[in-house]
Amino acid sequence: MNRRKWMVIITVIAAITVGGATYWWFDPSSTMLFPRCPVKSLTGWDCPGCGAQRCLHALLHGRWSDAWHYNPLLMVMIPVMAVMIVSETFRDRWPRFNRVMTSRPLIVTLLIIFGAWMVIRNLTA
Amino acid sequence: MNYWVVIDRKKIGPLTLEETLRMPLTADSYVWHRGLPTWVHASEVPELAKKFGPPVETKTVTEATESAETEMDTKPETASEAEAAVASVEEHEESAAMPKSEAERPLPPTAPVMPPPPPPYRPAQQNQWPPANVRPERPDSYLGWCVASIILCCMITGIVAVVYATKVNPLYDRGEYEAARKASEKTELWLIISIVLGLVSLPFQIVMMCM
Repeated sequence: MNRRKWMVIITVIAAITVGGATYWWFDPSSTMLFPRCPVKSLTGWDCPGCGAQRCLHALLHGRWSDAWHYNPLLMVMIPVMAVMIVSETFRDRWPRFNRVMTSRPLIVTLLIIFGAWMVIRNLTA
Repeated sequence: MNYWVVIDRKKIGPLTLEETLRMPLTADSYVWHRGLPTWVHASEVPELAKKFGPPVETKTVTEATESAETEMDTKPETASEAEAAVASVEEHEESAAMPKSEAERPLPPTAPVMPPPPPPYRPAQQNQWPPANVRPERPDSYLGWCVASIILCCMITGIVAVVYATKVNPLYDRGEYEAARKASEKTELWLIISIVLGLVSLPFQIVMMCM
């Protein structure tokens, strides 16, 4: 497990670095190089993650208010997702921590927040 | 402390003590909790024994019949063969040792004196469930990645991945390791689908750019 796990961790860190560099260098709102959201293309509605690429670009340039404007949910969720992934990766070391982070109430709450956010942003936009 | 019980040949658990007491247990239902080397009868677990009153010393007989029953459940031919063999041996012994008194016969013929399976035999089979000698590693539930895929890749398939991901740990805790592994693999699959769908517009956009 260990060797494979560390390989995965290194790959993920490398991917995050490369992706971060890409999103720092190119502006998703003015370049056509970035993928479009399938939900938005199909339905025309904003999904909970729409605006995430522009949000990332703004975040990496330190423009916090712009980032918040593009997708506040992403700004809130980045630390949450990071904690969840770390707890999952080291579930042998901290089983109780992982138990809390993967508990059903937490996941259901997150999904409800996502759904509510999608409704709100489509109604107010 | 968590308890596992066997009811109708199915293992149930983990249960708290209160839940265990509420289960339809009999004195010789099998029970296991951490710290016990093997499954034991409920009457042998002090916390549960109260439910059945003072222990009854019929253990050896019930065990013998029970093992015979399970033998018959799993491989009926061998069990009947063994019974026949035992019967013939008994007959043979009877005819050979006619002068012996009736009292020396160990047990009435209704409970045939089968060679009981060696003590580790039943536990060795049942240990495959919760007792954790060879418990497989907890499979990855990828929950953090699923949440990320909802926001960053494709919402719909990301939700499917989350649904499978939330099944992994409960299944594993119930001891259904195989099902937990399968749920983990399904999560993996839907994560990959999610990422692919998130990127699916990219080639079209590149083509558009080049035109």
